[in-house]
Amino acid sequence: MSRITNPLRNKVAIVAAHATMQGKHPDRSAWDLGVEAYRGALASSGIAPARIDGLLTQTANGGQMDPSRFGQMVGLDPKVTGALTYGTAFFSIAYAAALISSGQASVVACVYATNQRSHGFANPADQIPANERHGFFSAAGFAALGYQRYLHEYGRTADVDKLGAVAISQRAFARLNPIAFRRDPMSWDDYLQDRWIAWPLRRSDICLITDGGVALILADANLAADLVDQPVHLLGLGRQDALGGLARGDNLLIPQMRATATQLYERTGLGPGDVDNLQIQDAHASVILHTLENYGFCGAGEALDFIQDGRIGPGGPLPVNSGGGQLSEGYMVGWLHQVEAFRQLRGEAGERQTSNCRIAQFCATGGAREYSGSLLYGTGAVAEMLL
Amino acid sequence: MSGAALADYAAPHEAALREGRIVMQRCDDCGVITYPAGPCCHACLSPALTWAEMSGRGTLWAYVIYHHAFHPAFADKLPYNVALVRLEEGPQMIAGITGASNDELRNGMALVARFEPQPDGSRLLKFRPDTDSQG
Repeated sequence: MSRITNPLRNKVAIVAAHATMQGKHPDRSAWDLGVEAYRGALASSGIAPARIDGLLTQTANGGQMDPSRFGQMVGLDPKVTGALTYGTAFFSIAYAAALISSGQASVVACVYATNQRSHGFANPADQIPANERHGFFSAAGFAALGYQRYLHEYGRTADVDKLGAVAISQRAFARLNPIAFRRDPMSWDDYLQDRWIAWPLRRSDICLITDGGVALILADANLAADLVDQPVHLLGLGRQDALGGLARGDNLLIPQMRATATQLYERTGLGPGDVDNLQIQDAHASVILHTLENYGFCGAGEALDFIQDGRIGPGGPLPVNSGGGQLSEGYMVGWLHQVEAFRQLRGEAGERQTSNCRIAQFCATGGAREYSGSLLYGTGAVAEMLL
Repeated sequence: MSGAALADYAAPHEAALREGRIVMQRCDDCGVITYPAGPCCHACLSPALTWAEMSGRGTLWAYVIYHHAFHPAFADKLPYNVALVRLEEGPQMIAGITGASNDELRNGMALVARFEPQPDGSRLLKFRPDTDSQG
């Protein structure tokens, strides 16, 4: 048996993370929000702009956040400039990790910002108008098909409302997060009175749209301790896509996550039982179920029960989306989840702090269920232990 | 072809749907159906593809009941269903189910294509329960 190696072992750390207030910023451009996030990441870490030698942006609505223009705006002449289009923070972090681990750059700023709540949202070009004439709209349609299939496969259709534990837990976290957009309380009664959008999903099961910005600074792990006091180490990543979409194969329950989990856990020698704080890119609440099961946090068909009784909420044994997630904090396609993991692992999450938080995991998937990616982060002590 | 637009590849499929038929690309070399349409067989990459008519029979794989109209054209149809239908030839298509109430929908139920006339003279693909099927 060949020994499994981890190409990212002790290579990359996050040295700064900053997010703007989430919500409505009708008078601000994505550029402006991106600059605020970038400025905040530099200010909170004390990293000098001259140290940034890589710049990655995720482009936003209306062509905003083009990386060359953004770099010009903030006075950077980096070694490497690049952009990734709409999707997930995972793409940008994996790109930054590749740049750093291959020596192309050593300190990479990653920035995403959008004003799509106030100024409209351009759908990705691969939306299929052919499906819309049947009334199949929005990424919620994919998620609702997936949740319906899930309920059928495990004989849980009568328990459809149990999904509410996700929205309710995440709202409880958002109430402890000053930058979250939705901080009003949500009870089970509130949830059950909420209207269906696309049964089996209610309004509360579907992500917000917000304006806001996030900046992360990733660095060569060997430089990280010189740059900041408490770098957060990237322990490894996994990635597996499934491109058949709705048309081919059985992708509704995002089964490719299992291959991602195997890669990630084998490379790092860690497993779901080691995770103190779990961050799941939650375009819809039902993604939490598919993620918990496919990554092995619970067995197949068990997630609806697993999430009950506060188990994934504040004070629970497995905090999930402790910043409030995209259902309550804001919709930054996974970027806010990195900021939250960074704060949790540095013990800076205030009232929502996970006790003794040493390892955090981020799991991403797309609205059309075509990709899956996951990252493990750890404190310096964990990274040292894994050497 | 007007260019490299994906719509160009799908045009024969779309035209047939408007006439009341489901056609998809069948590979001359390996027999696999490629859907959505493209320049080659997704299984063997052969460019030798022939448009073939599908049987219209399939099963209900999963479904959604919309209670919110994302487009005004659907406001008077609420609540309406949309299903993912697995054709017996393999590919899966999105379409509404007619001839059954939303409460009567069941995963795995046998379906057959039923084309509904539209005001503009074209037809819209729907599926209805296939009462002749053993499924």
